[in-house]
Amino acid sequence: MLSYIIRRLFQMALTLWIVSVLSFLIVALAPGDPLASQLDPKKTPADLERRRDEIGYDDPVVKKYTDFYSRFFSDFGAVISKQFGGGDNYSWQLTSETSKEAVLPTMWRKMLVTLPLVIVNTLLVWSLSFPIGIYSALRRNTFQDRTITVLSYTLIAFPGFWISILIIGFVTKTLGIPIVSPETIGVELEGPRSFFDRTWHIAIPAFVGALTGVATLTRYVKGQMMEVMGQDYIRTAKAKGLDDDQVYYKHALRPASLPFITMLAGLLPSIFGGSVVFEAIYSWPGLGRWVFEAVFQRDIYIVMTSLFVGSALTLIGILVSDILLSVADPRVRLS
Amino acid sequence: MWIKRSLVIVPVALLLFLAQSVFWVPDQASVSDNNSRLNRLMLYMGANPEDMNPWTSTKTSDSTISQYLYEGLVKTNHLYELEPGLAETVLVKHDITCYLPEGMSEAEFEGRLRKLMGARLKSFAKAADAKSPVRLNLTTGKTLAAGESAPDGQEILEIPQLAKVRFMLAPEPVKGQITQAIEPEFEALIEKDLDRKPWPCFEAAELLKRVSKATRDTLTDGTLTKTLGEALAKLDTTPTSHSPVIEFHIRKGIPWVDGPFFEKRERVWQAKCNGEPCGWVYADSRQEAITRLKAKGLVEKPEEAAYEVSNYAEKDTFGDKGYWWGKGPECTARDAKLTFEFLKNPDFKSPRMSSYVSINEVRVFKDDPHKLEVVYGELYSPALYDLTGQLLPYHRWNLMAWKEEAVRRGKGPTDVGLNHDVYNPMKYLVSREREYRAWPSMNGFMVIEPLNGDALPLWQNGSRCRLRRNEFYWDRKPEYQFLDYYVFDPNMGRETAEVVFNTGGLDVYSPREFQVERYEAKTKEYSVIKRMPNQYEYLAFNCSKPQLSDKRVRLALSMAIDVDQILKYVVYNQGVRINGPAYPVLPWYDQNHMIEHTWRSDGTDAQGRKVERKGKTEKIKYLPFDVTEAKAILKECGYEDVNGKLIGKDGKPLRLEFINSTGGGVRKNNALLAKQNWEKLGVEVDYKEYEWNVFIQQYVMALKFDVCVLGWSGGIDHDSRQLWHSTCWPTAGGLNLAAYANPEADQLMDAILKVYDREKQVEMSHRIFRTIAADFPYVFLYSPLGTSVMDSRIVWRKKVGEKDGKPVYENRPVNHDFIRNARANMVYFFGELKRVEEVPQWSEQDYKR
Repeated sequence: MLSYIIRRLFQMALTLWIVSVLSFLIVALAPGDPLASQLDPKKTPADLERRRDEIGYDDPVVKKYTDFYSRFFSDFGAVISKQFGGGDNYSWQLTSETSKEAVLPTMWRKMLVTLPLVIVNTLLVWSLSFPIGIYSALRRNTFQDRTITVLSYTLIAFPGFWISILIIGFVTKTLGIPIVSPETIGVELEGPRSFFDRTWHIAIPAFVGALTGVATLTRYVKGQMMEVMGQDYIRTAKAKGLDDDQVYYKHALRPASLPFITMLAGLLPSIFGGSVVFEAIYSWPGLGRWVFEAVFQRDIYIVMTSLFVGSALTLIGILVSDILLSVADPRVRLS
Repeated sequence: MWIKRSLVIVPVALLLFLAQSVFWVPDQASVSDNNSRLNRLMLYMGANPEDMNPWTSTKTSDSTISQYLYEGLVKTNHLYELEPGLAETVLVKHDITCYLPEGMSEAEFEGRLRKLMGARLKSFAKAADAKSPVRLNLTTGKTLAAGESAPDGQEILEIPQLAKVRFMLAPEPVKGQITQAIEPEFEALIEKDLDRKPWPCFEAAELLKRVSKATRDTLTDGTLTKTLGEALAKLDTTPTSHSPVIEFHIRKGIPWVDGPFFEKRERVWQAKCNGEPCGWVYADSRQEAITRLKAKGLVEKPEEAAYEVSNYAEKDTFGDKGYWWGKGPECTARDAKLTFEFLKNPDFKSPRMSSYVSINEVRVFKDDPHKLEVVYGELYSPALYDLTGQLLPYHRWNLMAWKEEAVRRGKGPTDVGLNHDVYNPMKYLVSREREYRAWPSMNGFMVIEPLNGDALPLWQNGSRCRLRRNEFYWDRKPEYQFLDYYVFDPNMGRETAEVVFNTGGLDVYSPREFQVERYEAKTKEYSVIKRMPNQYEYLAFNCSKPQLSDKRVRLALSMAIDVDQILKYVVYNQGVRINGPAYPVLPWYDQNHMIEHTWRSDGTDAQGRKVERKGKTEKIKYLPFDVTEAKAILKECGYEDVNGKLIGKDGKPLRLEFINSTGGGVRKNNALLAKQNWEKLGVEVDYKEYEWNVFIQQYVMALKFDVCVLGWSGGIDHDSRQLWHSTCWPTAGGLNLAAYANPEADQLMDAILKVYDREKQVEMSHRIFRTIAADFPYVFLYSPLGTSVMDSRIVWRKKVGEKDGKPVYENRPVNHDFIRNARANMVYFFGELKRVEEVPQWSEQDYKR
């Protein structure tokens, strides 16, 4: 196992390097000069030239690449060192072109805003999909199953942002209940009221965001369960006289769940882009919106850092899911 | 079976937990009626504030906040006119150095000037003695040395050299006004007064008259003029140099406000090293503060330096939540001097440097720390608008304070391997990265309330920014204590804001065009105020393209656009049609401009009856949407209508490459209606959209288009060269996107820069307006109205008089006539608004009195 993990780490490093080069080239060679695009009659070409010099806009791509990653790893080292009680005097190397805030600490702060939304969303998706999918599989071709199927396809067809706008309109205009932003604007709450106010503001975007996920995952769960239910060992278990619950939830559910472990690999990077639409609609100052705005502002350090960290999280997610799979399924051997 | 049970219990419990939270959420009534709302104004913005240094920031969201934090020497009033701000008086003086008119003594010239200029002439003195005359051999063209004689038969002409005098024209100061005594046409004025050319010896033609007839017969006038011209070219023949000097008297007693500080007042020490302010030291005693200050290593030999530390007096602080602000040094001329000198300094790296390079000198006076003179190298009247910019506090920006921060942040002399003598903090801690951007000292009517604890920035990025009333503000303080700006997503900001506004969470909302009517109908709940912002939308023709170089073609294409349709269906009549190149809210827009047009075709009236008009010349306010006339004009230009297509003399169809940026919105709709109109006319339109950066750089700035759709917003001065001067084509780095060139417009745009008289500026800018408008480089579409909807509980606190030396305010509706008729942005009045408990009942008179 250990040698497998070490080998995978090397492969990950190589993959990350390739990703870093490709993503840097895509961002650096994208057409358009973010400074020249600011049409400001008060700025002369000399003003723009001065700014270009200052940010090293015309530096060779290789220099820009090495500059970026040396700064990134220097900052990353400082983050790690801080975790182990390192000094506070470190001067951050990677700062946003627009806000001048240090990229890595800001990323962490934004992640803390997004995380509750992503966690609740994920909990809803997974906790609802399994019972509904299993229920649908166990009652296949019944009215209930068909209803779930129709509902699932309906939810997959309706985009989340559209449902969000309808819900926002209904809840705010008809019921007069605040819903956007992470907390109610216009009043200052404390204690449990503040906690539950925030819970409410998470609930709706997380729920709406989960609808499509629930609909999709329910279909997968149903499919997996149906496939497993057709296996010989299930028939054997039934023939042995085990009660239905034992058969379904002990012998069928575990093997049916195995493919979903691989889906866990996508959970980590979903922090970056998983909720960008909902962060925008519900006005959450989270990580997804931050990265999205950086793309439009050509804030290269934020975009590059997010790409790199996102890629690293994806690879870590894959590794973790592989390891979990080997634990959950004795047939899988890591070698 | 626990798995089965948990598969049911977990989602149900989770859903119940989330659903019950709705009972904890405050409803609309408690959001909008809670007491805290009476003491604050709640607004929103569509982007994040980031940089509070007004000279390095580049974003509107930055200035949205910083406009409350700082003030400049000059400011714009509610009519967008300039008036003194921090300065009590502003005098625009004119420092003129000129040669004495030929044949006049100093005393005579001074007498003439006194008669001509009256009390405006403040000083007169000799600047330089006359040099010996230049002796020119007219035959050889050589200048002879003193005592050298010319060969027989060759004539020597002596070109007189004149003494120089320097004098100052200065107006009488008037409090609250900008007064000026600039004479841009000084040479013409003197010539008129003397009734002769004052400096004939500087002109070859005049000197020629002094040559003997014999020599003129021998060498001919042409040869002699050339010889004299060459000789004069080697001399200084500019008779006059003009230097405007702007004198400010800054109001006394305006403090900078430092903070917030999170340490106890007694622990905060304002520090100075060798007499220069250098930030703050936190210590329990004076001795400890000095020890800590020494330890910073701000100078080569810390032990030998002089240190001073002082606390803030209790009466000089305010704050009530565990943090506080302190009254810093008084705002004086040294702040302004530092600001202007930094702006000129390339190391300061201000993107607005080019506006200040014409400043030659900034003078401060030891005997009067509130007096300041800004000396320009040439006449440049828009400079006054540049002086509306905010000042930087000397005690935060002097080089010692800068070095202190650099040392503290590991970028000091020893950190970068230099000694103190050669170390320049500007190089190692660039201006835009200083703490000041997130923790400024302020002199406006609000300060930044910390929301991140003691972490910088003080505001919550991406979430909100809160401002607090500056208790040391010198002028009228707002009646609310807090001003909250919520930051919404740039793309969905307006939608989010409407939702929050409707649930009572905001006081002001800017509706989209199609929503305005809806809000106007709800007069009990909302007040609606409309503004014409300094913004307009247009379609730009690329005049450098052969098919668009003829202004008649551009006229015809403009006539084929149904602008009224665009106004009605794109902006729902929330725009004002324009007919020329200026923002209609500003005086530079000629409201009386009429387009003179000679009809090429007969028309029809509303009933479809024929109206004879061909050959008649009429003056029309806006170009009519008239396809028949457009076709007739194009026919005159050589385009025939062949089966609905316009075909040129070369047999090629009239084709336009029409570009736009992606992203939809109003501009896309403007473009699509225009495309439809042109296609109906018979023009082949190739419409393409590009990503913004690609659109601007690869197409617009490279002039690779025939027509593009864009809009302008911003600047309020009268310098329009960047947009219309022939030297400012995009290919030369300017923003003359239409590649427009008209020598008459160029000359006017250059000339207006030397004019300081507002009435003349208006008159000249109207001429510029008419000249450009008559060439149809753009299809001038409209200026969109900016509408603010406010909760009816927001009132305007109008100053109605004074009692016992204190101002008296009364409540008035926010859509009072005074506010409705003002030109400035609504934000101008935000300091004078207040939320009241109950919706007031207004009478008709309340809107006027």
